[in-house]
Amino acid sequence: MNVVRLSNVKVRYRGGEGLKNVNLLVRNGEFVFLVGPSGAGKSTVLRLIYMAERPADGQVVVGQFNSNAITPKEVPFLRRQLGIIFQDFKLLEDRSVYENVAFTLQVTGAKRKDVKRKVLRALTNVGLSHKRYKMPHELSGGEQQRVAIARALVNDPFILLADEPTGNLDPVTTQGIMALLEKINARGTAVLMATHNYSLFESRPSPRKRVVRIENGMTST
Amino acid sequence: MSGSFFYSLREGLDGFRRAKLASFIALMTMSFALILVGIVTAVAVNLVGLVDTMRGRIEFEVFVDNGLANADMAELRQQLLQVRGVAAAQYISPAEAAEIFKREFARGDDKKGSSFLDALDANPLPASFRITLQKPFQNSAAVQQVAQDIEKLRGVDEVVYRRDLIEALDRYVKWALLIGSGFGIMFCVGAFLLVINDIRLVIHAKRRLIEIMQLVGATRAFVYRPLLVQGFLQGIAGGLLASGFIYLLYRLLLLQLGTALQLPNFLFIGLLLAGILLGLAASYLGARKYIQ
Ligand SMILES: Nc1ncnc2c1ncn2[C@@H]1O[C@H](COP(=O)(O)OP(=O)(O)O)[C@@H](O)[C@H]1O
Ligand SMILES: [Mg+2]
Repeated sequence: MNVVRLSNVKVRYRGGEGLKNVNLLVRNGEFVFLVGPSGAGKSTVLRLIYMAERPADGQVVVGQFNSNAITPKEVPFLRRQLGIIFQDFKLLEDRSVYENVAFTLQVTGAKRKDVKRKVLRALTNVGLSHKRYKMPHELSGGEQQRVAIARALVNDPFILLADEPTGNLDPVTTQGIMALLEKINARGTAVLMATHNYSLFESRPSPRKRVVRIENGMTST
Repeated sequence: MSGSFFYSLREGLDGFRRAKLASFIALMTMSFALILVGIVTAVAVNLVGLVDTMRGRIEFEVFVDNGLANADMAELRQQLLQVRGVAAAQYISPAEAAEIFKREFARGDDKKGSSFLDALDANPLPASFRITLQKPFQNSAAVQQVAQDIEKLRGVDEVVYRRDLIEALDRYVKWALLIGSGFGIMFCVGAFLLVINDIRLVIHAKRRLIEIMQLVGATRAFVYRPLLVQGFLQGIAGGLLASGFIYLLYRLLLLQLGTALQLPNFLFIGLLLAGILLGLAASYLGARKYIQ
């Protein structure tokens, strides 16, 4: 079963290149690397998937949602089925680790009694339940990214979108984050990771992994 | 639903704690703006009230032909009351006229007037009617028309009124109100723009929160709600502060001037409503920029 499919997608930016022709398929449980130089269009592809961007041409299908049919009111409900992480973590600096993760559940109207259990489970999965009272600035970069991953996972998404998740991290920490993403993928969550660093794919081979190359707004496999 | 209601309330209140300085500045600007609105309104209300009382004092003296019979006098009174615009006609006999004349002169240290009247054998003053006008006729154009209509009546010798006063009222009051409300509105709009800008800054501080809420799947309404709650609370606080300030100012002026100043209750309700509307609108405008 496909969880994400982009077919002949074009995106135009005023004065910019945008995307010329992108085709991408992510199947259930796959770990797909979207690899290309900076400016190739990787972030734009991810933005298309969580529908912060609409294609000028072609279509994007994510789960039961289709870019040609989805209404603005439906977009939040699509996002509740996705997990998204970024190079800069995007944590709330004035809230604790626990509150950062609980945030997702609170703003999507989860039941109160479920919140604590789900947050602790997500934090345990990323190995940070013992730091739940810390503030983001008290954590290392790798730990902050783990908090972001816990926040992305707390709603049990069918796919995790990662935009250069190790871009700000040193090589050792990077390996730790990669191992965590592999663990998450092994439990059945599809992963789509955008990176300019091909060696992240090469150095840790696995039959679940696949590379899609993107350059100048065009994909090739 | 109730869970998300309390969430919005808690987050709305929390918004102040997380952006103390920006919230404080926005609150001060808001109070200042509302105080300005309140003062402009209070001044306008008092001016209009003052002008109304002055207009109410517009009176005609209708002097009657000497030697008009008493029966004709009653007839004339009926005719006066039927003239368009006349509210009341009070008869003043020559004797009463003399009394008034004496009283007016006795007020000054000049006693000559009264002795002058006493020196005459007969009372030279004619009978008259004192006419007051209905409200819609208390302006210079209508007054002239009424005076002309009265002059046509049989038995009327002369109609006397303070024409200059009425015309001045009409001319200057119109301009004063126009210019005054022009400036008032300009100041208020300027103050409102400042408030909107300051509340924008409060929300700007929350742009990351808004971004993340949308990323993890909060609905638009859910993102807006705590921000609108915050604007609403800001509006109430600003309205109360401004009302309190204006009330104190009013008491102080009363003590100082001792005159009857009007401070209508609708002003306080209006300030509270204006604060709430302003807070909500500013929050909405500020948030819209960051909400897809
Ligand atoms: N909001 C935007 N407005 C204009 N051009 C944009 C915008 N976002 C991206 N672009 C352009 O689209 C291209 C792809 O950008 P992006 O997807 O961010 O690349 P990558 O993530 O691979 O570095 C680049 O040329 C970039 O300048
Ligand atoms: Mg990018």
